Amino acid sequence: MTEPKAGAFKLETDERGLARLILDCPGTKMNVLSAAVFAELNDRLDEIIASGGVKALVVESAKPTNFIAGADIKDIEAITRSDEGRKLSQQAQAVFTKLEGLPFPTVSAIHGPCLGGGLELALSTTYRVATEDTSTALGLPEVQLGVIPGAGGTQRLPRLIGLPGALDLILTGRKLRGNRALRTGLVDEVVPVEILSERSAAAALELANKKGMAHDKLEGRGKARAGRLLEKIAARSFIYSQAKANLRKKTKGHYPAPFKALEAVMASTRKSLAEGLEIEAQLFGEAAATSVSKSLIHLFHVTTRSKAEKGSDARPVKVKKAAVIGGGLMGSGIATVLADKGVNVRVKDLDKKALGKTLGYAWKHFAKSVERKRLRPWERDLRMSRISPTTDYSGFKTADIVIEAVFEDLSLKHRILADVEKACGEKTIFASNTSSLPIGDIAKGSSRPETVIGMHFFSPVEKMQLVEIIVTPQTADWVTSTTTQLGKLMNTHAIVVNDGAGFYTSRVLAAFVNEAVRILFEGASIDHIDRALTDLGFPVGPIVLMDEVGIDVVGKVMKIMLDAFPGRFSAPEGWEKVAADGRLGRKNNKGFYLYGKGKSKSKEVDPTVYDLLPFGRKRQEFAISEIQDRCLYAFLNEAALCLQENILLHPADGDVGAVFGLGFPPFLGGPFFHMDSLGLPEVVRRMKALEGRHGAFFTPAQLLVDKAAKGEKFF
Amino acid sequence: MNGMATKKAAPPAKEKAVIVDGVRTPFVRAYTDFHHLTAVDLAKAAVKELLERTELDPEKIDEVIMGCVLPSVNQPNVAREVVLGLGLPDRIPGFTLARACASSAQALITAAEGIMAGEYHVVIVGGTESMSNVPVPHSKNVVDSLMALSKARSLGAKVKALSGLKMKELVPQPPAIAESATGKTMGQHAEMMARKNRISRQAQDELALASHQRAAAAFESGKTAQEICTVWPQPRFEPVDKDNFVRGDTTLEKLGSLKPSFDKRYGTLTAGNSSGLTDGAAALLVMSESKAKELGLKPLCTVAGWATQSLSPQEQLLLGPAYAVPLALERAGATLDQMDLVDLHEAFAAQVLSVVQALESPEFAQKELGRDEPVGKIDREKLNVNGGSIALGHPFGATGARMVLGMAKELERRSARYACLSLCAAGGIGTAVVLERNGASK
Repeated sequence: MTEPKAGAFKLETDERGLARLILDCPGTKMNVLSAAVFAELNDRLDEIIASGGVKALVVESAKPTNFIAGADIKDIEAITRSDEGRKLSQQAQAVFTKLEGLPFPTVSAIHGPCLGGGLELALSTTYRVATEDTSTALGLPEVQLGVIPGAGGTQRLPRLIGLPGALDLILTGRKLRGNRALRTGLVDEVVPVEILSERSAAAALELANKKGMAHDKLEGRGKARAGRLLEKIAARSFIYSQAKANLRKKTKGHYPAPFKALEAVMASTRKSLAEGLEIEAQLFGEAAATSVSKSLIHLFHVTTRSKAEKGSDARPVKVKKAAVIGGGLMGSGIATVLADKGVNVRVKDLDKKALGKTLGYAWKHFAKSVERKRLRPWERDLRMSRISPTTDYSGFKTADIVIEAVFEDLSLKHRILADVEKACGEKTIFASNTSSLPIGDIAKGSSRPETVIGMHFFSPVEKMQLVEIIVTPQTADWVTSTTTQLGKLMNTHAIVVNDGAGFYTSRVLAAFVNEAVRILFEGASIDHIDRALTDLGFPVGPIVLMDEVGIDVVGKVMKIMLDAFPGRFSAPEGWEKVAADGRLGRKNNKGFYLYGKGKSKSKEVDPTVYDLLPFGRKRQEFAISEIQDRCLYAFLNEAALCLQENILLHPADGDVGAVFGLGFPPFLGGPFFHMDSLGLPEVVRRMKALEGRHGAFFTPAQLLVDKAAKGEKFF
Repeated sequence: MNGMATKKAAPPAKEKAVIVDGVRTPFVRAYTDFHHLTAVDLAKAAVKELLERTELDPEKIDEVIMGCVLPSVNQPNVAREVVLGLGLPDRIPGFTLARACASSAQALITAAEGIMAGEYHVVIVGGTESMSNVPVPHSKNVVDSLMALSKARSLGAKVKALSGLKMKELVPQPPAIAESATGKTMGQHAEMMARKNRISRQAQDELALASHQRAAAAFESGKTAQEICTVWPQPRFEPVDKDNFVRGDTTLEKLGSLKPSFDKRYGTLTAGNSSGLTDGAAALLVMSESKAKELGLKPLCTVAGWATQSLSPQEQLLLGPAYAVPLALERAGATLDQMDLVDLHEAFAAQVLSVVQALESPEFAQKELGRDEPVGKIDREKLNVNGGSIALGHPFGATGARMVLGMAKELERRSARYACLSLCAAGGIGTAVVLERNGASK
């Protein structure tokens, strides 16, 4: 421990023998446990022990919004070998073991986030008092960064709250609010924030004096724990095998950290604390050194970056009211999210029944939140009241932004744009939720093109955490910043890209699907292609995706891409026969797979679709790896081209967009991070090999060739 | 402004109240389309759409005043619930008032008075009622027993707490629409008025027929659509955009075939010539004349005069309008003859006809109003031109605002000058309002 002193702690001791250890990391809003902070804590504990006369200790935060947000990610990121990780873990463990071993009672006073290392600290104190505030969140989210709790969390949490509860928190990274934490036994008391400090001090003294509420509660906890010892060995092994099977299903083998966390937690049931900590440190080190952890930490960084995205330096207008045109699935989702985030929204559709469905869609979403006790019925009704349907343009004049979510038809969009400009003020933004039409083409129908922008949402809007903002050279800066701010309010992650056919997301997805279709027409079977790509880590395969999106819609997008990039994108001969057969996909229960009544969840290919394809029902053998490589490299190359052509402004946007909008495997960190991981020379080499066999589609982007030659990386 | 003592016209005011616009929900038979909507839900639907259509910045609203006769026990201040439930600015207080069936007419009057006094510039006025969600209370005995039970500690005490109860009492008692001072229901009172004032069954049925036919015609011609908003009631969200009471195809024969409802043997009042239990709400945007001008809005009409009068409930319970109308006219500086439109709330056809008769009667004028001349004769062509509560239904709290809205729009359509509307209300009350179309005066 040779780190410089962090200067993060203040120690105060009063005449009652009550010491307060107050954490206030300098220069940041959030308390973060860096190696330096750990070192200082260690020294402070030594100081307390040496000083004597302390009867009880309260650990609290000087930050008004948080206890401790967690360990410093930089420290984890720097780990390249598992022994480095093990060492880091052991150092942290030693400090908390010292805290736990203090010869007097200790109390954590928790308000706001208390996560990761912060919760591990709290677990090392005798007693925990948390506030009932909704910002208070306790959890061990380490697996979300591809690691496991490494400062005793896997050992102390199951000892405190039992095996099932601990596994639930550690394997999912789920956070608990104060009252939930109280019910699970994670905290001992929940209090209003105003009395947190006072009550924590009182509790510490009660524990020291062995009388009073805190003392009684602690005694009760001891009894409850004794009861839990009766958990049979058989039950334990059952829990273990259940948890493991669940993890296999969820991770599909792509994420090692939850399995390591499971092993570590299970060790707590058989081993001493010291032995358990040793196992935890070993497993932490292993997890921290994996590429998966590096990818997930990379995603953490790029999403943090996208949260700070402003779009432009112009001051954004606060959107108080929005209008949505089109009450279909996308329009409904957009209206629902707007209403949820406090924006009044006028929804226009020609069909009153469709508007009823929009309201029903929102109702279903909010009713579910009521069921889960996240909303009170009154809050549901308030949100519902924010959505007001209409069949005309009344109520549009006061809208700050109009989001158009109608059919992908340029002349229809032009008509709507003209109507909107008549109905609205000069400063009303027109945002098109097109997934493929260039925004510049839409703006051609506008008398004030500076107010026209693209706002590409992903379905279902209320679940997908991405919005792609598309700006044209004419888009005014304040329009970009306002739309970006709204997008972030709605969906957390916003990426701002330049205009072009398919922008970024639709274009790379089109490349991916295009390659899958080519493989299909070369004779591969449908389910084989889909399985190859879900095995690679995509949530759905490209052929299923076409059924979901609509084969007609895919056809339209493909046409746009073919026109925009002739010679690169190419539709196989006879491709139009599929749509001509009346196959639209899931929406008309006729596509590549079978739908309709009596169909179970597991999809079955509709064999009659093969009759429309080369090789008919006699499908050809294809190596899984060939399918994976062709589709993945088509994706990667197109992403690189988007950056080369300045569609993407930064590779970070490319990673955020691909992971959150398209389901690109998070454990690969996004297309650009993945290319970095593979090494750009290797990427170029493999693309050239594919180019030789499959043509110009795989001609590597010049940007890749240049960067590889110069030995550069994206990040 | 009540009682004969203040009969003089109000002193010249700096501000006049104008009606800018209004919206109402469809009026539907209780326990049908709006079964699952509360009075607050209905009011929110009307107010929300009013704000959308007028594109009014909610920050400009000073007050929300709602009429509601039977609000839910949990949400007694409907107006405040509307403010909070629609996310309107928190500083708009909102209050709810009850003057039985004249409640939302009173809400308008109160708004106009506040505007004259300089207290408000922009007010949302409205009324709402869900007869599908009338609070159904337990008897006092049941409530007392339940309170005792909640305090009882031992089993014995618990048993004792419930021992005083009879099974019969456990059935909640739906409120009867009865006058407490007379013990008679509204229907019985109207029946009594029909007898005393010699209103025939035939005359009542004819008025009911006209009500249905005119309401149907107003719907067909698209007039109603200008006033109504579509409501999508949860949880199914099927659009409701029509009043479902109106029977445009009814005939005198059909009406004549109905059995009397209140006096089964000798009566003349039927379900056909009475108003029915209804759910609905209406909202009006009311402003000071200067504010409307400042915002560049073109108001529909001015609230030119108003009055509320009352009489003993014993004999002519629903004759209040015959007292209120002449006073409101006087205060507006107008006469009944000058009215281009007259709208009398149709609680019962017999009551409307009784009021018309009283207004025409020299004897009533002398004895009851202290006037030499009768108030005047109402041309039937000007009376309830788009139907009334018999055809549309009668959500108590909403009817007054519905009538104001209908008259304001009709004045506009006809480019006419004056409309007078009046409602009878429980307790022997009558309220009247005179509207004058803007730009039509002098």
